[in-house]
Amino acid sequence: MFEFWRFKTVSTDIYKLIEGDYDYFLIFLSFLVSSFAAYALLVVLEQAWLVTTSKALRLWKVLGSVVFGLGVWAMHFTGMLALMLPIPVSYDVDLTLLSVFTPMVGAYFAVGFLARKNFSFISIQWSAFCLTLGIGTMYLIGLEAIKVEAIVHYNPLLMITFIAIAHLLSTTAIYVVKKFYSTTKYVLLTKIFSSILLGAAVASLHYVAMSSLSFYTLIGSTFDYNTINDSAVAFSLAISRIVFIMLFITILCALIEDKFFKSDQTIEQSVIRETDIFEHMADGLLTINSSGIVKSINSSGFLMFGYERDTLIGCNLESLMKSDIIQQLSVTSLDKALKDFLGQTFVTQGVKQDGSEFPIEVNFSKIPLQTHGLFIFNCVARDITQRSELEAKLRQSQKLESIGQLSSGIAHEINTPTQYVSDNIAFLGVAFVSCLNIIRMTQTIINKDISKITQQEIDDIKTIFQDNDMDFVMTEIPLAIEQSSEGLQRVKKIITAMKSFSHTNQGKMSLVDIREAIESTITVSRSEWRYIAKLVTNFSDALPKLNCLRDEFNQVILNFIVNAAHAIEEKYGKKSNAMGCISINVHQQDNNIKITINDDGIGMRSELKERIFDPFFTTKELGKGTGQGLSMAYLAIVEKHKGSIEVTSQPNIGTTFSISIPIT
Amino acid sequence: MKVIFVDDEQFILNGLKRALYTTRWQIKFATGGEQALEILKDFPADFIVSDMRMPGMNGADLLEIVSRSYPSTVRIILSGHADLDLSVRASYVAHQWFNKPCDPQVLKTEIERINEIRADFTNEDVRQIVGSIKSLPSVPRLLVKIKIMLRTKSLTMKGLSSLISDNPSLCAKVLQVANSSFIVSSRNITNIEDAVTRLGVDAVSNIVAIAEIYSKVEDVPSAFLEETLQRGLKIAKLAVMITEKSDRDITMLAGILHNIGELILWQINPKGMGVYLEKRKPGQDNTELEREIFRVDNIQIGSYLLHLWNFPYSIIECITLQNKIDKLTNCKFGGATSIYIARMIINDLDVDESIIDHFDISEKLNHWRKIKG
Repeated sequence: MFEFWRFKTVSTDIYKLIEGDYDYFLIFLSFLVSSFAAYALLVVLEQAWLVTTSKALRLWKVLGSVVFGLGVWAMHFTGMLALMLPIPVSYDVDLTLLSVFTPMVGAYFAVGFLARKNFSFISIQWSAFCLTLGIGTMYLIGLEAIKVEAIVHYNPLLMITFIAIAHLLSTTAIYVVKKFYSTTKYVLLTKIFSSILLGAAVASLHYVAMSSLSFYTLIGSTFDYNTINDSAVAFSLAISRIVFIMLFITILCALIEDKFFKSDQTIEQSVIRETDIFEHMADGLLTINSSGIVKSINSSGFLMFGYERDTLIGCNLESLMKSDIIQQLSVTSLDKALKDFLGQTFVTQGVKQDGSEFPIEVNFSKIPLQTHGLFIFNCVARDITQRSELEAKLRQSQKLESIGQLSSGIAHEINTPTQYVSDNIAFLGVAFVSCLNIIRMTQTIINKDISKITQQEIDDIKTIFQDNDMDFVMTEIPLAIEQSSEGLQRVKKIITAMKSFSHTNQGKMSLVDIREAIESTITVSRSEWRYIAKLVTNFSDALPKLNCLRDEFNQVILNFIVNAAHAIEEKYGKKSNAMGCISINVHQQDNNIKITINDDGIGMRSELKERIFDPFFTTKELGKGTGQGLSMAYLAIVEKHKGSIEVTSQPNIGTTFSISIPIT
Repeated sequence: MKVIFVDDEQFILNGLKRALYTTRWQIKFATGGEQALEILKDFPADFIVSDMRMPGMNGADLLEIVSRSYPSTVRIILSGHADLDLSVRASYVAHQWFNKPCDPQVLKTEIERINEIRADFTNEDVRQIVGSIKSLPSVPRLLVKIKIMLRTKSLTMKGLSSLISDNPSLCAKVLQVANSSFIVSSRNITNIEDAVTRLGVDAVSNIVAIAEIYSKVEDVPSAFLEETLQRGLKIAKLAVMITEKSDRDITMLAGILHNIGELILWQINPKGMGVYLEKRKPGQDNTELEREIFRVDNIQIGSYLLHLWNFPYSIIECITLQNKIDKLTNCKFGGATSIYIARMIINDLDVDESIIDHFDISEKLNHWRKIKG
């Protein structure tokens, strides 16, 4: 049925079959070439999978198909040369060159499918078909290029088998590629294995194809066995070498590209990551040049300041923060202004676009990069409005707590005068009954005519005098009144002092009469010290008012008084009759108010003295002190009032705290 | 009546002097503990009223010394200070506690009432006789402590359990009661905290009272001891049902203790006990017989003992009044009356007509008699 072209039956009467032989080195070489080609294809595919632009994809597709086609062709050619026929063989150069292109075109389409990472059954079939078509065409053209003094015959059955096997192998090879695509482990090993498999597939295809081919020559022709082989080997080696070099270059290119791609990717990723971190930080992050101009800001930043991003960039830091440090910018560079504050967190007032102020915590750092010889600064700004409010609440609750602690003492202070005032009033009640009786009787008598006054009436009055101990009543009435009113004064004083002590200033500085503040605190804390010590005060005249946080100041003084009382109590013990002495002196020294609080209590050793301002450090028993008093005092005086606290102490002699607060 | 007031505040003393000038009491004033002790040397005061917090010696310290040196003096605290530590300490030594500011009229009435109660038992005979007993039961400290904790509202189940845990024999007693058949239980209680929770604070403090007081009485035959205790308990239980709800706590304790003096009688004159047991009429007023044999009666001794133990006068009063029909009708219906009625019911005696009429309890009386059965 296939009685056409090279399928015509060859008459064995006239022709005889030429037995070919194979050069095994060349066969091996052909395997090697095809494996390398497959490897190159995989490398190229890998790149194709990574690229994002269609232009680059096309470039890789072209490169991949050219390299693969070339490899396949080289394999084919080497395989052909490996066939040793006992007759002279030569090749048509044009056709041979033409046969290079068909596998390239086939591979191009096949790679097209693979590069799309589309591994559905249909597309695998399609790409296998493209490969088969390309390679098959290459064979046919390549075989046509053989010039030989013989009849070339194809076995049609084997030919069909060849096409079927070619398709099958291509499909298998693509499945291998698919597998390779999805692996994440042992990538190199998989790659090598895949390429060997693919190479082997392509090579075995060649030899299947070759087996369908037979050469017939006229019976009686003489054979010259060794006419071509040496040069064939040399020729194929030369081709292989060129192909190898190309393959190497391709692989190299791919690897370099891979490196570039990866580092590109790393940079891109880190840029994305950093932009994201920058944008989504809870804190505001600004970059500022050394003249204080904002160069960039994240969204937390411009939201915090109530600006649009674009309007804030280019603003001067001076208009955003009210800090003294920042305000120096008009005269100096940021570099100098921040000299001592780099890396330090400090609290200042931020200014929103609408002019309202809010507390922020800022931290400046210098970016170690210079642009045009100028440094850029980083500024992390945190809106601490909420925190400040919480702190204020905490301060308030601490104050309430101390009022709570004082309350039982204060109750005693109030109960005592109440007791004697009510005693006195009870007495006055009784006393006035007697007095009124006497007055009434006297009234009756004086309204009478003097002659009508009876002795009885006078005796009655006398009886009342005697029965009611009127001498006592008369002496005591003025005293009772005087002492009662004194008692009421005491109650009033305590209540006023309590009100003054618990007065809140909402965390704002105000001008405070130091003397009044200290005296209130002494009154409020009276029961803390009155059984332990006497307290003497010495205020110098005409003390100026002090700009300070009143409730914190009160709290500090209270802490010192309570501590002094405790120190004395510890020295003398609870039961002793001995009383200690606490003395408080206040005077002005230059531009400072100096307050010294001295006690003659237990005192401290120097190692203790060094730790007293540490938070939570306490020597008191549980429940008597939390160790926060002095650290809070330190915070209030040194940090909030820019003052100083000094302490001198001698064991068993006493302790003196000197507080100094600047007046302005 | 001799009274001494101690306060570091002169104005308080002045105020008291004026407020009390109509009382005709002999009053002395001291501005500190030391001065008070000095005055007491020549002034055997019936009452000492002291402030709590004073410079130098505080009120608790002062009263402690007074309780040792002048045991029959009634010790009262008048304080404006709510220091828990000190008040607990003072509660061991003070009979009464007044908070400043205290209406002078209340102070006056209360002191006079106490004076009336104590008039019976602080006579020279009682003091001498009780003083001569070597093995006088000592202060039931744990009971006092529980009472103080109850009063200051600082008592927790846990705290009570740990107090009891300190005393092994008491522990055993409490567990025994908690596991007794009276209390329906599905499982045995082995831990003191569960026992306390199950029994409740009142029951536990009564167990403590009995255990502490009766375990400290020595030289008395155990049968007599047991009989006295059982009688006391029986009367206490019934009296609690009779009395007003608010008085139950006091009534229970007073009931348990109302015949404690009888135990001491044995110690005064063991030989006289034979005659006494023979002649006495159970449940009735035997005080005359007692005075005949022992020179004092059990009520005088019991109340003096409770006085020495710093029990509040509200409890002592329940004991002193138990036979004084006329005085009972003058008081409001409370612990003293309930104990009297309970005693009469338990011994199948008639409750005095004047009591029935005065409190209008003839109907209730039948009900109570049924409860007893």
